[in-house]
Amino acid sequence: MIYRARFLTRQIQRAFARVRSNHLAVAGLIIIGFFAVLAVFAPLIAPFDPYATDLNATYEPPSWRHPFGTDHVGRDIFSRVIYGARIAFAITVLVVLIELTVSVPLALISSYIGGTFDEVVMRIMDMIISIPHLLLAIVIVALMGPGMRNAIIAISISYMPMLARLVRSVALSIKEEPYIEACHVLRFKSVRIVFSHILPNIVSVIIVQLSLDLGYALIDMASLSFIGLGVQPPKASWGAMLSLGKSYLLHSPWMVIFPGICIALLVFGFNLFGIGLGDVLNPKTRQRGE
Amino acid sequence: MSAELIAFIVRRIITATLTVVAVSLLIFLLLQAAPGDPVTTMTAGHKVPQERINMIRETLNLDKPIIVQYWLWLKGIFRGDFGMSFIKDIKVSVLVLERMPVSLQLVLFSGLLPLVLSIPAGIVAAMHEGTVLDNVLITLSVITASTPVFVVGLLLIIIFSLWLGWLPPMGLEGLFDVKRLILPCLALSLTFVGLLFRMLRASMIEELQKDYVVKDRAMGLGKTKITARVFKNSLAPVLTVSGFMIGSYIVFAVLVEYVFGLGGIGSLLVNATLTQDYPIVLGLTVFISIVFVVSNFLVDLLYGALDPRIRYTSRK
Repeated sequence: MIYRARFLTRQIQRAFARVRSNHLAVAGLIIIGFFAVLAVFAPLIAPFDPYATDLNATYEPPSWRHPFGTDHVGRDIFSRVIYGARIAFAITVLVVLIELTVSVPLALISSYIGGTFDEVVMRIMDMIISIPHLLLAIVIVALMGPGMRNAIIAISISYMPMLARLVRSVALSIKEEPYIEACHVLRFKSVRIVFSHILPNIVSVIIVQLSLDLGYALIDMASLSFIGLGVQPPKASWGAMLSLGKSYLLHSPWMVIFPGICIALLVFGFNLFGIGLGDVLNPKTRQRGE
Repeated sequence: MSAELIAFIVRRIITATLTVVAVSLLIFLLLQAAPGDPVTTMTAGHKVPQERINMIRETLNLDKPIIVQYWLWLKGIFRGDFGMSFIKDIKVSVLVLERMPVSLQLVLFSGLLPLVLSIPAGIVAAMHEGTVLDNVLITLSVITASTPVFVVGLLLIIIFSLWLGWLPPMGLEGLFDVKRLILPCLALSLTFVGLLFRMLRASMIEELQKDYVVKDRAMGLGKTKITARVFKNSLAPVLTVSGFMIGSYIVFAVLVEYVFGLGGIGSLLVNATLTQDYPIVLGLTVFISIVFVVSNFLVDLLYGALDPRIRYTSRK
């Protein structure tokens, strides 16, 4: 047990050292960190209440008082964008957590058991994959009714098959390794083999996929909110702000510009981090780099 | 065509059909689970005599068991009949066909730009791996792939219509309205320029490490010739991934249509979801899935043409 804990900490330390040496991952982390600070300290940073309307200051262009301008009911867009970071993180993290807790155990168990169960699970996944994922999310939300909670569930469902397939394919190849055979010989329980001997070797693959999914989740959530199915308007989410701003596009473009740039920038951060992490954790490129 | 290839095509057509049927069943069942009664949606709160409601239920087959409803609907699909809209008194297939040309020209024109831009960029970046140029191109590609299509669309309208005044912002007048098509096509294609570029670059770099390239170099083959060979060999993996991208491409087209108010299939889908016009949602989802499955099938065929190592025999 102590040995394993030491082994783990050493692994983590090594991974950190490698992430630090990867410029892409570091640049991504800086951008993510910047928005994380905005999200955590939103009440301290934002100059105005994001929901306070001021009918004397509607459609104001960017100025010293309102750096990002105001919207159609005089709300300060700068403050709303800062509070939007909170919603953005909440959404992306929730989507990825739900996706993770369903598809990883499912794929691991299914690949370990094999046979008919595996076949059925994978055929269902194939079926879901033949609907483009954002379309699936749109259909599910259309059925369950628009709103943030339903959109989060819908998006995470639409991501599950991809992750499940990925985990399954890696797990299948690991299942054939000699050390797993050794576990069988030692008569370890199946649960122990799957979760403490197969899973640790898949973690890096899962982490890379999830860090990319964070970015996709943000895009997809914003897309749903933009067409009116995701986060609903009075809430200060970037997607909902864009949806609103579209109506005033040619009149007050700042209602669209700033939330739009924020989405793009945070997704950019997630993607850089994901790509950098992929470089670091992928044994193929690692051998080449070192 | 070899017998092997024909057998492969037949097998793929069968699995593709089964997939579409399965997808349609999945979505049909999902729709059954949806809250709300279609007739209530249609009458929209007005008082309607019970006889009239019964009549509507009968014409829409709503009075029959779910399995029968599904069977009737599935039979319709194979005849190109996707049922009636709940809200407008019009056939879904008519609505879709009416709006088809707009969406088609958007999707087809936007497909060209990623090819034209990403192939040269991918080749250049792969041949100069690790240089400043390579890094600049990568950064640009990650930026374009990170910006949601509708944000790109909105920003393009602001820049080119509002600030520069070069192009009209929205709408479409008839077919081949090039001036109004430029911005939507640009918005839809930019994301995929970045994605395609990165895949081609990665695939070429992997290919460049292979032994035959060393052999070619040792034999003194010209740089252009080596590049051409490597390029051809690295296309196959790119193609597989682009098959998956076709799905997001179609859905992103939906969003772009919504941004620019193009009134194609995309706007139809968005409006139908917001008004809970389920036959349209159902019909369009199945329709898009068919397009997706068929294009993946074509990609598979092309893949075999590009990579002679692929044999069209069943893998198991």
